[in-house]
Amino acid sequence: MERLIKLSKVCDISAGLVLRRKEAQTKSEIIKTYKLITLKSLEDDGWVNSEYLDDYNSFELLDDRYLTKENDILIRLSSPYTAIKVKAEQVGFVIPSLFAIIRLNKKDIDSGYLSFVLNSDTIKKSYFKNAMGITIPVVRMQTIRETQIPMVSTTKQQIISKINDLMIREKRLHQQLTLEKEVYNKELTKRIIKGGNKNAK
Amino acid sequence: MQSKQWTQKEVNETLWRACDTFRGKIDSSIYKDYILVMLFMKYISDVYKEHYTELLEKYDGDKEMADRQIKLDRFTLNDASSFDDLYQNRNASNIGEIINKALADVEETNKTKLRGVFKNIDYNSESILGNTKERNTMLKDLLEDFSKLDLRPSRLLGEDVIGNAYEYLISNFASDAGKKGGEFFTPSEVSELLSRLVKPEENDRIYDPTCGSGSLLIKAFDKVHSKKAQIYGQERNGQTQSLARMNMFLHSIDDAKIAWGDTIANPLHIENGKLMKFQVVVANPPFSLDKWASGFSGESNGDFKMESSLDPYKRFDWGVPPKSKGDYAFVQHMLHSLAEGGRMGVVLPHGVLFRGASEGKIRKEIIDLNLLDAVIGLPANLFFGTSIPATILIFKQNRNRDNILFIDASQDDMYEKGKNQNKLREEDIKQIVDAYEKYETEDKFSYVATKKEIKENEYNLNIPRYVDTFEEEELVDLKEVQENIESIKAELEEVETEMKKYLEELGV
Repeated sequence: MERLIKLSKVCDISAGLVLRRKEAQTKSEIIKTYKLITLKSLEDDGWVNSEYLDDYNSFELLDDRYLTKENDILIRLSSPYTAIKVKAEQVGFVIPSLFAIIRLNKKDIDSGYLSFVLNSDTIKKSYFKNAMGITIPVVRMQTIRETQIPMVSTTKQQIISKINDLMIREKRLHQQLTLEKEVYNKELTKRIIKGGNKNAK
Repeated sequence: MQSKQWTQKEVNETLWRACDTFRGKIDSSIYKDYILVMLFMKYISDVYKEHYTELLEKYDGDKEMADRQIKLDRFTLNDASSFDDLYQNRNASNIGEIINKALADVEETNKTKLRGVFKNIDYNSESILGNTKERNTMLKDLLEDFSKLDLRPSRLLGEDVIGNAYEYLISNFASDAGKKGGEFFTPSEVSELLSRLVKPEENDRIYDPTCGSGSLLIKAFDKVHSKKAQIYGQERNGQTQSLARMNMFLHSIDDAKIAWGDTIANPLHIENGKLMKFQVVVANPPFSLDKWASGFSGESNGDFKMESSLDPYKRFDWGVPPKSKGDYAFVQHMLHSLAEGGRMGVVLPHGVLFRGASEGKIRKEIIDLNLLDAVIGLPANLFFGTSIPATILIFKQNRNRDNILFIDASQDDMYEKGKNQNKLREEDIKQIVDAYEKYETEDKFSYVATKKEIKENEYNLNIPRYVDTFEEEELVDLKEVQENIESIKAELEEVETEMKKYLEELGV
């Protein structure tokens, strides 16, 4: 049987940057402009959409712990508590305090597997129950630290991680298909109403 | 040390803060009058004070000379009725009464310009401002708030700071309170647009039959560079008419004639027993005013029906608008007040363009008489308290063409989206005014319709009938789409096979 392990045992968990603390107020103060992860840039299926990143001007160089690293997992602290895995091309972005940063410190856990588990309904429900606040229920860092993760063999983790990737890809393909079908059917409708056009491409 | 200069923004903010004295205690639609009157008092006191000091300097401290000279000013004040005097009395137990007396005194000493301006305001009213103790505290706070402002002309940065501050308060109160019954404050960009479209000229008589606080008239007056134009207005609400008069005074339009009364039942600008004629007529009448003709009902009970014969000025001979929609009553009043060669612009709800029955008949008459020059559709949500889109109709007497120009300015790129209100920007106003000047068909924006087309549309002026704003759909290559679909399907199949493989490995 698989054993359960506390998330804090296998990862370093910290909060993102409180933006106001390092934000340059005037142009002359700017030391560096970073790309900033925003809530909008987080797609529900667990990937970062670079189109919606913002610029962040800081008045000093930021500590590495606030910048994305490959294989980090970010958890959104407010509903729907989406977890995303940071890919190689998404490193160096500023993580604001709206997210928890999960940084793996052990070799025996796969980041793809972990994000799969963290995105499961069971975990999200437990976060929802433990969230604080009324209008915007926010999950506490402590709750995240205590998340119970089922541990399976490394091989199994890798397979599950691949399945996770496939699921995300499959969902995006289905969305694309729906869009293309819509265009196709609209055009068909138009041609049918016009009484058909034999020379149509 | 250089003395502080007040910017428009600082004056506006200080004033808005002064309203905190009343917030939560009295409804903003009522306390706005107290604030605006106090602003008026403070301003005229400060102007007077400064001018008097200047005169004293000029005559080497000769008080008698200065006194004599200042009597020739635009207005005069007695020491006992100045703001400073009121401020010194701020702790008096009868401060409400003292303010009332001061106002009466200001009116009396400036009879020709300000008679009756403060008729509706009572700073000693127990029913509005509460019992003596509460009232005194409130008035003391109010006087203290205003004492912080220095409105002497030399301390104000920019021209017309006071006039603008007054307008700022009026518009903020309008958005704060939300007007009921179809009466909406005209946002300043709409007033600006309307006044540019009707192009007021020197020596014109400019008239607004539903002038409210007078903002639209002031905008129109501003377009006359020499400032030689005569302003006429009428307003049904007595308090608002007073505000309009103060507004005119603050904008240095001393000879504006703002009458108080119901324009439809009792038009007050009459010449030789007939409606006075104006070269420029502008208005933003209440949208679809219900019971607009009630002023004609006399003694009748409930079963009153308006007939054109009841109007001595024969304004409704083209048709009597429906009881619950006064839009065309105002349009007809305005058209009957338009001089030869006059220009007229009016903001109305879209319904006037297509509603049938009597309104359809009136519309037909107006078009057949060749009075309508342009129809301009505005973006939705420009007005405080209502989201409905409005339209501007431009009319002209003696038109030298018989087409009608349609402009669709309601499109997304024609305004700035705001949180509560949308806003016309200068570039949007300019684009509309330019299009009107050019009077040409422009793809997806404007269209010059012939009389024949209007007739074919049965005098329905609904803008989409003339200005086609539909985007041409891109040509779709069915074959290419089909190929995309096939390739997505193939990829899906691949994903499924791969998935199956991994699931088997997992043993699920």
